[in-house]
Amino acid sequence: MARAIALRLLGVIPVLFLVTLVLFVLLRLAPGDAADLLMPDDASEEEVSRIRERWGLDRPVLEQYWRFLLASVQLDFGRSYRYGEDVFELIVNRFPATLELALIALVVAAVIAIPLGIVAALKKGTALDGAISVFAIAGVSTPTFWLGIILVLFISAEMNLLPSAGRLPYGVALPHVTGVHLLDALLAWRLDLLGLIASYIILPAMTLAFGMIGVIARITRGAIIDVAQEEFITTAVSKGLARGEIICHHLMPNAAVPIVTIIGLELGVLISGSIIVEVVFSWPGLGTLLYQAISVRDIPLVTGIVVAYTSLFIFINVAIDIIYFMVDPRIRASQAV
Amino acid sequence: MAHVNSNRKLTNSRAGLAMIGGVALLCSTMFASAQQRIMTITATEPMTTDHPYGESSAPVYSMWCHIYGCLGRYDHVANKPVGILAEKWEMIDPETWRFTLRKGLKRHDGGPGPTSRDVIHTLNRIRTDKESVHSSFVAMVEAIVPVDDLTFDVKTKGPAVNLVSALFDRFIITSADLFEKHGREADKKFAVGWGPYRLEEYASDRRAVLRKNPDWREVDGFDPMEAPDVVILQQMREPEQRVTALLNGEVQVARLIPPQLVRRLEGRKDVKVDKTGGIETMFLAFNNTMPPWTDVRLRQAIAHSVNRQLIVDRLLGGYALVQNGMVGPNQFCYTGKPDRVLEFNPAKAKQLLAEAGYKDGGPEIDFYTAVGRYVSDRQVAEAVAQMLRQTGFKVRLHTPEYANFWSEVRRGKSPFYYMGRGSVFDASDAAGQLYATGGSPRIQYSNPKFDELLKRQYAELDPQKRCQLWRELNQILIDDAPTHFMWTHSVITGLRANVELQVERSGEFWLPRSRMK
Repeated sequence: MARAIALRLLGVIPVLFLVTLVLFVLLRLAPGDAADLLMPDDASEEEVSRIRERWGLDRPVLEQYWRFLLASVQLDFGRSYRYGEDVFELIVNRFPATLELALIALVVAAVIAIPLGIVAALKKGTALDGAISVFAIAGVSTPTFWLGIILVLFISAEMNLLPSAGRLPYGVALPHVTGVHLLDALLAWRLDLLGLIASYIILPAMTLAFGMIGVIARITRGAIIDVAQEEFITTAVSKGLARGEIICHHLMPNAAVPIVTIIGLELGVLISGSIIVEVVFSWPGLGTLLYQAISVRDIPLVTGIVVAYTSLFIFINVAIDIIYFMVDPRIRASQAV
Repeated sequence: MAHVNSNRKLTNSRAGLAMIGGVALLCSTMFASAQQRIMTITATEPMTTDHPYGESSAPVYSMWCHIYGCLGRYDHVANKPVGILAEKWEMIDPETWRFTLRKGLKRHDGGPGPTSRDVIHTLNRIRTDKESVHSSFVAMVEAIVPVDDLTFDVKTKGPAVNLVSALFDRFIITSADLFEKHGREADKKFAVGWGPYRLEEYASDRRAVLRKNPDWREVDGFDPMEAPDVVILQQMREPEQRVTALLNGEVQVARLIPPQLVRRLEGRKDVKVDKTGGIETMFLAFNNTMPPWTDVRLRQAIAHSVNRQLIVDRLLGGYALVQNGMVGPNQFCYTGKPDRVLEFNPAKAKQLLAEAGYKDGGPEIDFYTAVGRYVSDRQVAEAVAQMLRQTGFKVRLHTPEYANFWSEVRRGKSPFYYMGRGSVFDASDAAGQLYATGGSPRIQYSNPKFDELLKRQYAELDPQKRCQLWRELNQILIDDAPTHFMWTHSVITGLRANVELQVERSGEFWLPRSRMK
């Protein structure tokens, strides 16, 4: 197991190399650069050229890439042109906001989707199964930017129940420990703030979760239907075990592997896919940062964020492998041989 | 006694969702904030850096002008420049302006008032700081020479009667002492200046919080006692969200409301809508060196093909003013309708096409527009393309992402495009860049007579004569049609009923003159 994890982690190096190379080339192929886009309309061509030179954008792309590689092995991704800050620090500062949003969305999605998937599997072929399928497909098909705006219109504007934007209002003092506000409030034992913090997360988290509910519900349904056809389930039914006991002790543990896989992968998708939702809700996370960076061809920042996303995906995959090992005795047995 | 933070109001309204302890906290903070007026204003442009010269947009200039202080600002209501940190300015000769700074100002941290040394430091930093993107508007400045502690001369590279309008609202003065001591950290830990508000918090992509400087008095002695004590500039890029936040009281001022959302605000007692004539000029631009746009008849045919008023009425909800030439009614030196204008006249357009050799239709043209950058830009471009097709042009409409679009325009690679130029009040600089020979690759227009008149107006001290020169310049641009001017958008701002705020043509406002009841 340890060897497999070590090999997987070693695989990060060529993946990151390729990702950054492709990114550099793509960004350089697109017309324009940060100097073009960050200088005001009235800047003369000479001034734009001067800025380009100052930022090193006039150097050959391979030289720029080589400098980036040399620096990045020391986790130095350079300075953002747009933010004027160290890229690594920017990512570290913004990551907790995105992680908090993604985790809450994941929990919401899992809590809703897994029971829905189980019910759909147990009521296979009924109207209820059909209704859940329709709901799941709607979730997958609904564009997040549209859903976000609709939620803002109805829940914030019409019903005035939740705030439409931001993460925490002005004037609320919350000690910064992890950057994950809910966790920080718990650590500081500021339970009075939990409701307020949650009120800002609910809408973006619901928007993100809606698409995932469909995916997890469909996978759960499929996994349970597959496991339900196994002989050991027939044996359990023949032995007269209670329905709940069969579901909890026989069906779910054996259907867990694909569900864990999809939840793990979805966490990666949520973190990297929250860009639009963060922009719609003015959520100050990595997504907003990437959006701003791409819009002005801020190569150091775009590259840094994509490297962070890629690393995170690989880390999540390794974590999923470890969870497989823990939840599936067959994998443990095969590793032991 | 409505001095209550909107955020508190909002959270109160969802007490059902908040924990009981949370409500208790909110009640206590409400009590604490009841003594101060807090105004939350939506910020629509990126707020990405606390570097005062690191970003270039009118709202960002305005924010730093309120904090550090600028030399002055243009008061669009009084229609004249007024001082902020400067109290006097005069032209000594066509290439020298003398400014005098105000006496008795104190820095927010109790430090000394601004001096000529700070002004010189500012110019140097704008020009040499690696992160500065403000160098364009000081390009005309040769040097700043101190006369004494509070007086300095600005020497320009050529005659520059427009220097004041170029520097005011943008030349943000920062402390030489603090920068020498702390370098870039001065912007983070010692972001103190002399302006009417001091910076309390800056969170990029989120908000900036400004607190009123109790010592501030306007240059005319006005005491801004009724201005908000705290101003929160809250980042909100989505128009729907801005309108929603205004309606549910999260913010008191929602900026840049698109025409299609105005209806949501009208007819309500708790909000009001301010519609101010703007100075963002929209136009159809040609690269005058790219065929077929080398032929003036085709450029004029385009102008005669487009029914601007119809687009304003139907697509822009009436919230724009059709503009003939570069200088319109909302701008400096407007002297009435030009003698000749290129009105909507499809028959004339067809005649010009025929004269240019396109009797049976054509030519094939590529038309580019930005998407999501200007009000209803894609819809406007679609309407324009349709109108051009009706005249006989074979139009291919392209809608690239803004970064691609702008880069191609800047490099002079776009043959024909729809775009705008913001904050064109005194048109001198924009005209120099867009229409003077060799000004930039974007339009590549050249007319020796235009160049000569433009040069003369830079040196013309008599305002009336200068405006007459502008009338001639405007007419040349209409006749030659290197671009076809479309309109200036209205600046639409949503305000809570208890807010009094004078929105200026630039879309900005001067907070010390605002009130919260």
